[in-house]
Amino acid sequence: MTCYLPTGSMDALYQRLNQRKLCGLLLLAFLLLCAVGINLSVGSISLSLDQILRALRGEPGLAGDIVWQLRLPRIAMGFLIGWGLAVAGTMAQAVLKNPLASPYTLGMAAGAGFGAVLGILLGQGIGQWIVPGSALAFSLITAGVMLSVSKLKNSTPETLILSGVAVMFLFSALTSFLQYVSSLEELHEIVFWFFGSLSKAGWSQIGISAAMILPPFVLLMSWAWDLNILMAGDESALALGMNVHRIRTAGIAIIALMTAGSICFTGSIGFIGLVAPHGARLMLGSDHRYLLPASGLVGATLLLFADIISRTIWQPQVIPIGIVTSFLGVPFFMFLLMRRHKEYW
Amino acid sequence: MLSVQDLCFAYRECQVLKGISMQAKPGEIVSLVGPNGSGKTTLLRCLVSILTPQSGHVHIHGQDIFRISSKDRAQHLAYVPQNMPSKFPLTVFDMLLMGRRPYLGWRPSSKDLTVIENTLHSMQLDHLAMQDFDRLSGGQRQKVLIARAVVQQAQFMILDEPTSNLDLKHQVEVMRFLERMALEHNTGIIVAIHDLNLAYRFAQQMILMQEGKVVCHGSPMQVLDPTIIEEVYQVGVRILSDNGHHFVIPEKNGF
Repeated sequence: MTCYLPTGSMDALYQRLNQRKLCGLLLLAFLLLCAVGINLSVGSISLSLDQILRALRGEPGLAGDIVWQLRLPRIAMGFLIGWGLAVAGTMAQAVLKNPLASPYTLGMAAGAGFGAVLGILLGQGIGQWIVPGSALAFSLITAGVMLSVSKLKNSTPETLILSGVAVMFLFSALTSFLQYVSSLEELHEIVFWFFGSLSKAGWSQIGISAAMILPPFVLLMSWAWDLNILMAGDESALALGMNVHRIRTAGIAIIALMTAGSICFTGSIGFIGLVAPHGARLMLGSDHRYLLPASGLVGATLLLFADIISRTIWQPQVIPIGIVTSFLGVPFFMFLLMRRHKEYW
Repeated sequence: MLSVQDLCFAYRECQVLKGISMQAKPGEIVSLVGPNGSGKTTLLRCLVSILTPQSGHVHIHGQDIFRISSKDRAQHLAYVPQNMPSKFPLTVFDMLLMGRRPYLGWRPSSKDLTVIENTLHSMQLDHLAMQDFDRLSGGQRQKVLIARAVVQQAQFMILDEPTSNLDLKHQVEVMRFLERMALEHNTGIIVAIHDLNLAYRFAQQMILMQEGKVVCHGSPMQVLDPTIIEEVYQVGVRILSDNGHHFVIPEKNGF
């Protein structure tokens, strides 16, 4: 926003700017709440507000079962995934200093995909944890590779991005190979994993995802100023007394954790990690103290609205959430690109 | 007092700094001159710990700056880089707020904001406060980067060719501002600069570098000697005097 310095003091101006951003955050939180509300009420059986409130208070009955066993787990998982991918995307853009970066740029998602496929092929009958476990393991292995690249003395953000792309190609080739040798039934399951689906989420999976997404977020918030300074380039950041290398390395580890926590139980859900950070940036600017929570809110809201569409548009079929997110995300992203009036990247 | 002893730095095999020793006092402008590739920028980067020298010491008031925390160091030394690429939008105000990073808590105090306000005012940047940094002219951008170093309130300010992209008016404006910083705030200023005449006109001390070594160190009068200049730059020069000021100009057939 372009506004000239009024006669008031800098202090007052700054307070006003902050208040405006705080209002923005509240507005986003309200939208998220709406998404949660709609998500609770619509579906193959519609619930009224009254029914929902009574179910939430713990009254037994059909409405209670639907809310607690079907809709709330979906909502919780959707919230976590949207939040995790969006924040990881914001972080990726900050540490890689590249507006094109997303959690997928570093190859973690491709690693997770390969892990999931391997789990599907080898783990028949071992149990429900083998696929997410293997996806998690491989996304962390990918993160390990990226971390060792970042530890190289002369690694720049460009080196990291290029190695991420290389790792991504490697894992897609491996995944394609596994698909090639798999049976028709397995292939069906693999394809389904790559669509992404919230139906697989139970409360124990949600607990694990939450543990991987929420604590790192708190840590990131405490780095907000350092992330702001990173925008001005490594040289300035170093001269201002920041340990750039440490932030970048730890940042990659955190991106890996959040991305893995978001996708290993539900399959790959694309685009949120790129759309949400830019949406939040356009609304509230680049101050990470506001940008991090804002992109989390945008991501979660987008994902929950996508879930509403996926469950209602073609009843009683549920369109995989990964497909709907892209359908919803691309027009939103194009809209953002068209209406920006400043050079944003 | 900032003192550098025997600083050596190498990029892999290539030895860039070969035992640099120098000193700078608060309230003085030291100009660092020398041909391209003589190691000026590398020296400045070592001083502010963007690069880590292989050997040597840098002390500020007797404190080894490689031993103190980076936050403390940033309170002693402010750096103005040559250029600042940004792919994300930043307002001038955001840029200045960064300069307060060594002092900041989670939210800027009213002292932080007052310092920024006063600096913007004294550098006549008030009207640009909420403008996008990337949209400013070269001269304005340079002033903002200097302003960021000013709000850092460090005893020493280190600038890498602050005048190289500026027109005559802005060159003089920037140098006058540095002069004022030295006089009024007793800031010690080390500035790498190509224009020998500007360096001569504003500096109290001059350091001439060549191939990673200090060739000559002293008052501008001592350093600007035609034979020394010719040896270092391989260009014949003449020193002209007018009204007590001296000027270096290349000879017509000096190459």
